[in-house]
Amino acid sequence: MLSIRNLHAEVADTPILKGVDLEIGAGEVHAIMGPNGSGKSTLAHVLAGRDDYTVTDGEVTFDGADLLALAPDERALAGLFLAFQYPIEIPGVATMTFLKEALAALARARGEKELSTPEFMRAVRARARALAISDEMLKRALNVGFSGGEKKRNEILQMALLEPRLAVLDETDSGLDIDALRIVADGVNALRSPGRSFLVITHYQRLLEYIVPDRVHVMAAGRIVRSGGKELALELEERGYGDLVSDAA
Amino acid sequence: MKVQPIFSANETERALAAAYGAAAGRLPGAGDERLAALRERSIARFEATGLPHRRLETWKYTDLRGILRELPEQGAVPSDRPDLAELPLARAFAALTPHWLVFVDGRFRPELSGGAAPGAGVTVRALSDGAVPDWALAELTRTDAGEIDAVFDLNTALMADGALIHVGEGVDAGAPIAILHLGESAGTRHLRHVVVVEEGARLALAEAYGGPGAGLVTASALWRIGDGATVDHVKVQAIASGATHLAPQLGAVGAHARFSTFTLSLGAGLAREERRVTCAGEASTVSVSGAYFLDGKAHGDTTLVVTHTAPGCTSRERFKGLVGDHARGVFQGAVIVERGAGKTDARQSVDALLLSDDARHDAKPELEIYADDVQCGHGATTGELDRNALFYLRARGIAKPEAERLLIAAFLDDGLSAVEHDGFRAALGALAAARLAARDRGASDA
Repeated sequence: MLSIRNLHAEVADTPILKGVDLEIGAGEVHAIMGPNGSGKSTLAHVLAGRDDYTVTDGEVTFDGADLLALAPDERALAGLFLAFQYPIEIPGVATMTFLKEALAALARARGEKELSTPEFMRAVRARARALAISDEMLKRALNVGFSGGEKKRNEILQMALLEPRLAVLDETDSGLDIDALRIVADGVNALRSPGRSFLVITHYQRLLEYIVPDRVHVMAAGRIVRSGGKELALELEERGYGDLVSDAA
Repeated sequence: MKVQPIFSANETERALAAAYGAAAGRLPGAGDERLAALRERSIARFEATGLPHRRLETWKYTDLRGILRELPEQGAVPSDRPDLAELPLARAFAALTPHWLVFVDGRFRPELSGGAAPGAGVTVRALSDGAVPDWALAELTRTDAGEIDAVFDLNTALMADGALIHVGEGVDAGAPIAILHLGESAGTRHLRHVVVVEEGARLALAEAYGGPGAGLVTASALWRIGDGATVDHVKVQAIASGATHLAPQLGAVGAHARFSTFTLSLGAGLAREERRVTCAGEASTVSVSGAYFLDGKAHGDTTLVVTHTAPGCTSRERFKGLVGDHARGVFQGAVIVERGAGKTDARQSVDALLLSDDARHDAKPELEIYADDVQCGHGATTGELDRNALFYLRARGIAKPEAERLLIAAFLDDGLSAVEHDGFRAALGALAAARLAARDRGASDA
């Protein structure tokens, strides 16, 4: 589904990604772990199309198409979803207006009929309830006045509504207490399906106890330096990143 | 020794002075010596100074003399009567069932005016409709020392029509009064409104300017707001992109009164909105706010002077400017707190959003404080659409133009939140949204 080959990217002339290779098949859950500054979040943003980053080499295909040639909104409509580590607060844009615009854009792209307002409300409410998101939260401006945990749950709500083919979760566990983590993980697990893949980026092994990955990769200094099964996460938890980082440097 | 003339009138100035000479005997109140003398003194001052220019501090960003090289020639007057039921500017306020005062090309049109009748204790009439009443004359002659500027003097000399509104002591005027001016043809017009709201009275007044004519309109207003009175005022300027609009308004607010005025500017090639409001009675509350949307080659100037002369008053000035294409926005805001105006609480802010690399915005906030124990603050920002917010919206599949539209609408909505009157806020919101939609369609002439 997603194929990354020799990906190099830089920000403000500083190379961050230095040759990332990664293959994610349909229905698979991959985790990328690594120390701060290893390039994990950069990879997530490069995949989503953020223009602060310049891809200097390599290629990324998504369902066989050249992902890097697409604008951020085209990538989203093609089925890529990025759950932000720091969801943006947008004063004046109502959460419901935003969700409706996003769903309408998706329906247009798929040549489907847009949901009627009652259908839309029902769809949002049902998924919001599962994530313990109140009507009152939905009435607020997008992410404004949301706690850290509320923002992360709001990301998962958007994912649940947009039903992407590939979801990239960028440090979705950061800043969450154990109850919030469980709600978020349940939300993700509910969406797991044979046709949907996940790339879970995290600093800690804890999230992977709830979202159990098929493959774990370790990123250091802009490359994937080791890959393995889910047991690799436990090994990292015990030994830390120290050895791997010094190997990569 | 060769003596350089201090000032030599240009073509525009000569034409304006000549227009006074030609019209003086026929202007409203021509038979009233006090008014005739006021006009004479005003045109004499105008002829002595000419149009304001960039060497004057308060006009340094808007070189009116340099820009206004010639006056618009009188264009063909359309024979059709404007259909208010079809006019977005009128429709926006229709739900409020106002009493309409409609002016076309500078003249009151009684057959287009009407609607809800003003209640008992409320006087609503046109300046051109017979002798000018004493209460209006008192306001008109109150500023007669050249203390404003040449545009105001010009307007005083040539004012040919306008609305005279008086709300008696303790009277609630009820349904809003709406002044609508339509520039249907090119030409030069001068409107003067006088609004007096007596002690404890209440008024909601909307002012709207539209029409396709590429004319020059000076439209000034004088406000006197009595102790304990409440006034909600909104103004919408949505004239043609080739038109010029110069609009000084002066207000004095009494003790414990509330005055909320908001100006939404959506059109014009050249516009200056000037507000001079004085908190003259203790514990009054004043909001002088607005939003402007400039595109094409428009030049929009907002100039404010809010003066606190009485203690314990609160003033708020919040402006939002949206500047695209090659347009230029100017904001000059002065807050003056005079000795004796202790416990003043004055806040001013202007936020400008630039939508293109060629757009420009100049902001000049000023505070002059001569009293102790006051709280005053101002802030000015100029920026672009938040790139992080744009990326976030696009990452959810929302295309760039829609994402920009959402953010721009949010910016304007934030500005409109300063409109305290719910009905007015809804009307202005609808007009602003329509203007944004027109921009998306690539039509800058709303």
